[in-house]
Amino acid sequence: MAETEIAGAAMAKTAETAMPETEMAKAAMPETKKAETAMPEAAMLEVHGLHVYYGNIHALKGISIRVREGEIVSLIGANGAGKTTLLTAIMNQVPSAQGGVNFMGRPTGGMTPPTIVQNGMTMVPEGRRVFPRCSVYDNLLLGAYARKDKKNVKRDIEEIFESYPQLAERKKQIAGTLSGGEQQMLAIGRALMSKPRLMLLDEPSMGLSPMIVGQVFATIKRINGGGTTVLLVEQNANQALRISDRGYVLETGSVVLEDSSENLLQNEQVKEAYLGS
Amino acid sequence: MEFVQQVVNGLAQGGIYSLIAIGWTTVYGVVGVMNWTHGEVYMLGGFSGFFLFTRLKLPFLPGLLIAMAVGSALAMAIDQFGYKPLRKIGMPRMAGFITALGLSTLLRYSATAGFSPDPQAYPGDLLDYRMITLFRAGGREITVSSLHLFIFLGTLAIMLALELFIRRTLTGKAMLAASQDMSTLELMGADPEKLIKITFAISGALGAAAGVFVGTIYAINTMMGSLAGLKGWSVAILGGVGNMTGSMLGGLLLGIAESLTAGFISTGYKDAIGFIIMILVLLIKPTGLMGYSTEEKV
Repeated sequence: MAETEIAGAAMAKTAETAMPETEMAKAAMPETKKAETAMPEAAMLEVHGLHVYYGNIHALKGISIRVREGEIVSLIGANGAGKTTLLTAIMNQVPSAQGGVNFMGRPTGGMTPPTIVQNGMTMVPEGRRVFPRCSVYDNLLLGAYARKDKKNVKRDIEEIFESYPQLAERKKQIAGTLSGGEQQMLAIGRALMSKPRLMLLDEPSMGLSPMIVGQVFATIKRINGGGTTVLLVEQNANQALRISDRGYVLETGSVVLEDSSENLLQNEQVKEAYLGS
Repeated sequence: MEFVQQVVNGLAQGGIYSLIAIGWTTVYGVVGVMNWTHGEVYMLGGFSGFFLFTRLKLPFLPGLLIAMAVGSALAMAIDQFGYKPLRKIGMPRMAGFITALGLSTLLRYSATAGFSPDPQAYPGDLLDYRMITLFRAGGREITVSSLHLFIFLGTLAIMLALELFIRRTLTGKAMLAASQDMSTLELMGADPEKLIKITFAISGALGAAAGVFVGTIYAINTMMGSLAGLKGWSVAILGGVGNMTGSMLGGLLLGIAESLTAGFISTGYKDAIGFIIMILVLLIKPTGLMGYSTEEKV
């Protein structure tokens, strides 16, 4: 019951804070436009022909995807389709055998994961992975670990507390004692602390009650409204496609379908396999 | 009361065990390697102190600090040449463990060849020595030597400084987070290799400090690292591997337990008690006094 209340409060907050963030997005626009005129065709993230092996298992078989600035792109697919592998390979946390990734026009091939984060791409890992024995506040603080503008970090943490009041109430509590929904909010908040231009989210709705799932998707939509591009991996295909612009369907390591989210939601095959209708 | 006196006697040795154990446990927590060279860093710390105090005639505090710096440098070098190459190729844990055992043997016998197998003692006038009466209990004066008191307070001061560093600084907090989940910390833009370096530096400094403290009460020898290393690891298990506060308490407990064993049973069994406690802990509460139960990460 407590969770329902929390969810309600957060949703009310969503409505309140929607305005300033749209303004923020506008303020960021001129820069974006300049980039677009310089390279009209370049996507923010380009994955081309990516192959990943785990020993003998060919996990990714030449995957190519693109994410343009400002979009929410969903990757949907069953367990074992390679969704998580794709995200961890984009972050260079698993080595790829062939193919490559460009982020904002630069190949990320030689970069370490921390360097990629410093360049503006981050990931909220599967299963949230908050630091269970660190306080909520310290989790957020660590999210800003690599930032150069340390003096703004405190203010940004306060902003996150304003957006997620349920975290503010628990800022001194250790993160392991939070509910699943709160941990997911913390994981997303922590990722925001690195000021990413592109956020990869791996199964943010996993293991959460339907009420909280709605709240998580609303949050993702809001973050995108604030100017952060989103690449979203989900098994909850229905909800994911509803908030995203485009989607890719992955099956056993390959992209089998790529379309606008609207079309994918209408697609008979997708409906049957992933939307449960 | 004899009991109270024995407890007091055990505290200085306990503080030394705590320092060794914290050095073990921080490296295990952050890097995931059982660093068997830690006992050797402790021994070489003790010998650095010997060199600084007898040859260079340094006073205690500067000597201690320099020996700690030597310990840091040594531990970082061990990591750089011993463990880092294995990490680069995706080390299986067993490989790191074997490397550690090999390096430990290499360091121990190189030191024996380089210095001398004979025990060495620090200068007698290094620190003020007298007996201090602490309080009266059961009609008996409880006393402690100024050396033991000094060592106990010194180890506490170092542990307190470390605790402050871990709790209050961003780097310290990152070390704590790294011991929970390094690959997620990487996603915050933290470079694991940098944190590992800092961890080895801290571990080496603590090990060397323990070696110097031991040198102020006992003669040191090049073999002393092996038993101390084992005891440090049993203390880490007793306290809960990866938990600093647990190691601190565990060290003090072992020091006291050894002192009580020596006082009431026999000095001959003193060294066994630590391992008996370790076996009991593993049987009864495998996570240790303050350990976390975590599933092995895949």
